Amino acid sequence: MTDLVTPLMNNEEWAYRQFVKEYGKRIYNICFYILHDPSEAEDTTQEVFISVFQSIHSFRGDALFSTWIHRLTLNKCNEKLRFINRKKRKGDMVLIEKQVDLASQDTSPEGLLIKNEEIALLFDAIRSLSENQHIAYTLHNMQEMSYAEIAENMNISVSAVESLIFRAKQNLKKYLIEKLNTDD
Amino acid sequence: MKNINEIINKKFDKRFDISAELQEKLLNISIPFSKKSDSWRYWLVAASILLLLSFHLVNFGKEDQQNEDEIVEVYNENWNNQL
Repeated sequence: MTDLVTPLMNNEEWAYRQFVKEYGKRIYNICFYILHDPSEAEDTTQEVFISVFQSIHSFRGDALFSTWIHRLTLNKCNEKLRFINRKKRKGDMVLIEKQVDLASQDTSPEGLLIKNEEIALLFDAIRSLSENQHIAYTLHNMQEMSYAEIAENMNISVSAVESLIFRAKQNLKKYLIEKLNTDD
Repeated sequence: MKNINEIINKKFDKRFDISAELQEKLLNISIPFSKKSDSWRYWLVAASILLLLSFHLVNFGKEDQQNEDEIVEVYNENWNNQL
């Protein structure tokens, strides 16, 4: 991967284009799988890019550039999840209604994904988890990162990641058993 | 139970391309932060200066040589005349 840090710090236009090309899809997919909503994922991807451009000068090279980008992405997703969860607790169902609408969008890849009943059910279950469990489990299931990388990106220890994923799976199992029994 | 475990261990292996619209938006985000690469302008100016300098040096050398030749010629002529 080309070293983009210095040219980005020097505000070189070509570096921005390259950065969008290299990271756009990756950031969007992480946002989508965490937020389960294509339009929220698009908004968050844009927020991540704005953050990168605004704070590139604070990148000191303590971690890999990709790790720094992932941390920014996860922070933004975490903020968004908290916001969504707060809204849900307040009883504001706007975001949930949006999810239901998606199932009718046959033409979009996201719509097709959500048409998959098992994935839809799993997404529902994931949304019942705490933010940290939600993120750790999603990154693990996306197979983008190892436990060590997840730990590095979430700025926690590897054992904490293992514990988060273990508890996430237990909670998901509990949720799904309850849900499937209720539906029967 | 088997079904539940299968659901839980489902991998999110599908990757979606970003839409052309989002790509455009992401590129537009960079515009206020970016500057056009203008190093070629510096090279152009430097090359022009070098070119002018080299012409000047070549002509300057020629003129000197010409003057020197003329002086030698006049000196030789005078010398010959004296002889």
